[in-house]
Amino acid sequence: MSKPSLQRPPPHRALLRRSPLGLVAAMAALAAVLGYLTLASQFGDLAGHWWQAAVAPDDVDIRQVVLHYTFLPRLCVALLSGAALALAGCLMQQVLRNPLASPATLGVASGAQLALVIATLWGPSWLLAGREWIALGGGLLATLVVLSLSWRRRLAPMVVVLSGMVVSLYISALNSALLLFHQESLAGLFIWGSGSLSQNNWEDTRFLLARLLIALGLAFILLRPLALLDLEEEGAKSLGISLRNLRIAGLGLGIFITACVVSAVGLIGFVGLAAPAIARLAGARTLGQRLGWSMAIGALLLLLTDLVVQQLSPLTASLLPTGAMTAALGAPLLLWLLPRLKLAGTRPQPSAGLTLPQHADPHRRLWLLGLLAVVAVVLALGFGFSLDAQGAHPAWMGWDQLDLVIDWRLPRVVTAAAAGLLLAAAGTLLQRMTGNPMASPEVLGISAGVAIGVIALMLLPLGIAPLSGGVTGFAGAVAALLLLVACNRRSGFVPERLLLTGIAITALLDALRAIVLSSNDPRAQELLAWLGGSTYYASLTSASVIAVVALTLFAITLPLSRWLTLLPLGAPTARALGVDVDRSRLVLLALVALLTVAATLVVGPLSFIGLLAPHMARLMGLHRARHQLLGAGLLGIVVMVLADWLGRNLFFPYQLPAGLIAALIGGMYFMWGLRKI
Amino acid sequence: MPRARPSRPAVVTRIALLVGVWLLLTASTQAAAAPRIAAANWSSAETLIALGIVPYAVADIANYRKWVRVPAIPTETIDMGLRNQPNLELLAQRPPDLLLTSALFVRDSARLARLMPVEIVDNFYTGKDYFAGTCAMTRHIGQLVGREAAAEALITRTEAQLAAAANALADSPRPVYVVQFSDAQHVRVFGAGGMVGTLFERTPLINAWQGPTNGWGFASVPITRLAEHPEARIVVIKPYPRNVAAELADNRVWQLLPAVRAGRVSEIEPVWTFGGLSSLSRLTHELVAALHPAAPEQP
Repeated sequence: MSKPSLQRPPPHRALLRRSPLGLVAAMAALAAVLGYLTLASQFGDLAGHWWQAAVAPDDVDIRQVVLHYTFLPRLCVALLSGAALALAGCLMQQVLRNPLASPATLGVASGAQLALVIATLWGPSWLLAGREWIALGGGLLATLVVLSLSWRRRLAPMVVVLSGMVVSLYISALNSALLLFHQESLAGLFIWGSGSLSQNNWEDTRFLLARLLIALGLAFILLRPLALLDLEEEGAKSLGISLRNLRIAGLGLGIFITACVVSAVGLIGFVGLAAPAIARLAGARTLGQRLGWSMAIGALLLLLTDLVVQQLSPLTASLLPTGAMTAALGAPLLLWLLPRLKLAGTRPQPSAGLTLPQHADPHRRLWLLGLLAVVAVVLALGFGFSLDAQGAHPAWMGWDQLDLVIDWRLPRVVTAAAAGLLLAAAGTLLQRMTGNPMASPEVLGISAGVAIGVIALMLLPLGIAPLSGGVTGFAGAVAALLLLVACNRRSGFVPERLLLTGIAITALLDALRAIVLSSNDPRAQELLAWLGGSTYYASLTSASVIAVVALTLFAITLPLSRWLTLLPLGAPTARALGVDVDRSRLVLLALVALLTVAATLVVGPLSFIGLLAPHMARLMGLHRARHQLLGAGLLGIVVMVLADWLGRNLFFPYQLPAGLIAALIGGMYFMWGLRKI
Repeated sequence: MPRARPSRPAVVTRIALLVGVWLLLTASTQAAAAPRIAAANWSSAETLIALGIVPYAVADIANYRKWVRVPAIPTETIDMGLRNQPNLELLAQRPPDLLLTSALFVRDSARLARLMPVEIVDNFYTGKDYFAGTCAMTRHIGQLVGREAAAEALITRTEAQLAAAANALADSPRPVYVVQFSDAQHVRVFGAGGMVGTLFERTPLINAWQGPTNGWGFASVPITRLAEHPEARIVVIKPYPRNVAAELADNRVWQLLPAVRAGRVSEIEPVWTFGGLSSLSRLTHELVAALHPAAPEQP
């Protein structure tokens, strides 16, 4: 099965001898012990009848029914889902040549969830046809959008992942908007959304087993051609392979199997990312080995997590969703793995990157953007709903109501503008620094660190006076930053590794968020609003503080344009031109962290602007570091201020968070722009 | 940002206005004109209406009509947006004389107090148990709006109803699970610390769920845990989330639960289980109606 003739430089001898067998055997042994413990603790009363209950339960004895219809199918579903997700992740990583690719990166999971939310709210009768088909439809539709966005670039790996992340963010923003208004009706979807493996019959097991077998058969057929993707693109092309068809087939298979898992048990994203990475680190080399070992590792990983969840669940009043727990347990694992992950050979090729013509007159563009920002601010301050005897209706505010505008609209507009500026600057720094258009403050995990701190405060008993969101949020940000530095110091802050560290921290936030939301805690509503990025709590004091902070930090950023111009050329070039690469990266990193903390504390961690504004600036032809920084800053202000205005007035008196609307507007523009690349 | 700070005269005006409003409010208990009260929390909205007050504004009226239902919100009451984020632009244009908010949203009350007097009224997180906390909340609201007598009457009425329920349920030895479905595999099961817990305390009814509950008096559990007491009855508080009623037909565990096999399952109409005394009174009524006539006399 190995093809020595196709291998690139012969691997190190020590690596050749390594095999994931030992790891898998250890995991299996641990699973067996935990499984026995769970059985003994939950079904100790049935001791001696375990086999009979498993095979032919006595319908009158509810304990045997529970063992037969919940415990056993749950074990099977955990194994099958884990294996299936690992298979999907492995295929996607192989097709996209990107160790960050996973089912979640393509928007399959969020597409499936959105389809189910929509069906639940507006077409409950569709659900009778089978919720899995609706989820499948949503997942496929999201993927089709991703593929059509990257079609012109012949599905180049980096463009596919970029489109996938944007579509995924867009869909989850839509999801959050719907959940914000319908939380009481959608409690069940929260539980499903966070991946609960609870079973009450053998339906899901049969469903997954049949599909996994089909997928395995197809994967076996694709194995040889896909293995050729290990060659460089040109090499594979010269061997006469249709790259496009091959990628579509590989991706399609991965999506199909992901959608099946999502429709059966919900979102369990981390396994698809982690299992192939662990397999590779443990010594699986060829594609065939990686597929096989990934599936074994994925299955055991999910099973182990689920057994731990089952051990913990009697102790708490809220549900522990297994899907969210895999992320919570998986994040530290990923952080541990990172220094051991060989990323050098899989780095996205700069040649396949985004190059655009520079606009002839960037200064005119910048002045136009500035004018646009002024218009947006005037509109956001002046136009809104006025209350009279008949009720509230849209109107311009009179001068006599200036007090009202200053008290209740100005703080929100200023806060939105400042947050837009901060996030745009952070995003520009990150994208320039890493030379990676997928970089954003959110990916770095600083926003997630702040959010984890704030959630921790919410979960503590009320009335602990000296603590505030600011304190715990800042502590979270510092912790995230320390983690980033600790994990990346030795490698000299290699861009990809930095982003991966950030993603691991973000996975932890996602896990916490899902656990809180599915716990049916009425405070989840408040959390959801904050996570959406609301300016609701802005006051004149907080707005002036954040405005000063934003302007100061932005002013500090501007003189750094030399670094920002040279760093994207690559570390060796930059070094040759006299830049102290490590020091400049550390300074820029600290600056990004400050920018992100300031923005997150006021408008929550949904910083789509940070990904978006620098990109929009580039699509507008603002290429030089200084121009891009200014353009992105102005765009960030325009989008955030308009988003806040729409959020306040679209469903008056109900208010949508500005961050959420920004993601919805910005995402649309971004996707449109992406098509033109 | 020169305009970002309110001028000194503006602050003085605001303080004067605040004092004026406060005087007006205290004066209005004697005067004929009823104070305009806004309620951000459904429990206080429900209690206000039960005391005969027409609230000036209530949050999220659409969902109130779905989840709380009774007492109905008067048509002249305006909607002021989400419960945890009442629309301040709207309130600022014609501030109510008093805003009732909940302990959950206390983070914002200092800022709201610049617009209007703000009172935190809550029946959870008071340090008292649910019933004592809710009675205290009712009295508090009664005092604030000058309807002390109506508040006392409401409490007395509820006490009497609970006593009657205790009599009616005296001969029901079977423990009961009181649940609300979140999906076909999970329920909120109610226990100590909430409205349903109060009924278990004040009547001879036995709660089959003895596990831990959260601050609102429920736990989210898979339905299999309803098999832990095979002899128990199950009372389901409606509404079912969409489609769950249909999915339960295929759910082998639900179908084979001892209570379901023996037909010991009853449904009751939607009740806001985090609400005030009028919700408690409806829950009591529904529960007695569901349990009493059917209470089986098996050994």
